[in-house]
Amino acid sequence: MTDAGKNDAPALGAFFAAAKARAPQPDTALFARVMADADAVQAGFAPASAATSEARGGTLRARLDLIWHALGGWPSMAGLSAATVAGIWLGVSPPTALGTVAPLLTGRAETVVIDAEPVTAYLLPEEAM
Amino acid sequence: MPLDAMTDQSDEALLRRFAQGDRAAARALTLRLTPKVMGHAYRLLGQREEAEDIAQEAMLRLWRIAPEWREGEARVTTWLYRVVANLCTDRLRRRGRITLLDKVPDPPDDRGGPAQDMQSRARVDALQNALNALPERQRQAVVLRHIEEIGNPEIAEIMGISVEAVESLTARGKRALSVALSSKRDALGYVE
Repeated sequence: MTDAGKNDAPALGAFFAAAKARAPQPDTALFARVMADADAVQAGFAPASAATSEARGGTLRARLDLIWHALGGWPSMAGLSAATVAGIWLGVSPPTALGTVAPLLTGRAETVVIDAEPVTAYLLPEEAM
Repeated sequence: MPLDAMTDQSDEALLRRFAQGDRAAARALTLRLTPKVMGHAYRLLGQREEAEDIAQEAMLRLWRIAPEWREGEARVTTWLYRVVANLCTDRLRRRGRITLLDKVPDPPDDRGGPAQDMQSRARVDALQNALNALPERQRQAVVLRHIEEIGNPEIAEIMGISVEAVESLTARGKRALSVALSSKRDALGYVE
């Protein structure tokens, strides 16, 4: 601070002190306007907050609803039902073609030989000659 | 209206609660910050009605930014003072020039005796008129430092300048105020 600043400080201090003591105060109308703005803005993001709190600590029904919608709702349930019915039907009455594959799946097949090198199928006739 | 009942909570904590839908936090912030914002705007503009508009606008911007507020980056008051300064600058530019006030409105007062009250009021008016005559940045620096009593590092943050620049602005501003007010030393009790 300059010398001038040092000399001025005490004199200006009285003015600054008076200004601090007589700070203009908002009236009730201004407080009301500011609060009205706060309410309006808060209303804009209140639904998101409410949904979040319901999901976090809401009722059992709310949580089940959340799971239901996460799974896709009724459309996905229709597909799931059709797949279930088809699976049960295959279990009860398997098609005849399934009989050749079934032993592989169940492990009841006697002997299964799988040629890992299909090219031998072409060599065998030549060897036989 | 009751006084701010959440004095144990920081501005930043209240703002977070406001963003979560807490209306009590909104009221506490309104009561706590509106006087500061309006007082600062009044000292930068010198007109009460405009200062009230600026205060409302600054608080509205605070409400809107609340959900995105990142704690720890800046103090709420620092941010608000910066917003007020920008809004006041825009207002002054729209005016085209800094208006010198012929008469500053008298705030209601019930302090001290009549003579003391008269001198105090005269000092406030004279200071405001002298502040109005300062270049905008000097006025802002002096008001923040000597009336709002904010430290130079925070003023530097508010104004977006270095601490050295703040010191320079306040020193030049105070010199200009001294010159302006010393001419009224008899009426105002200005003692050098």
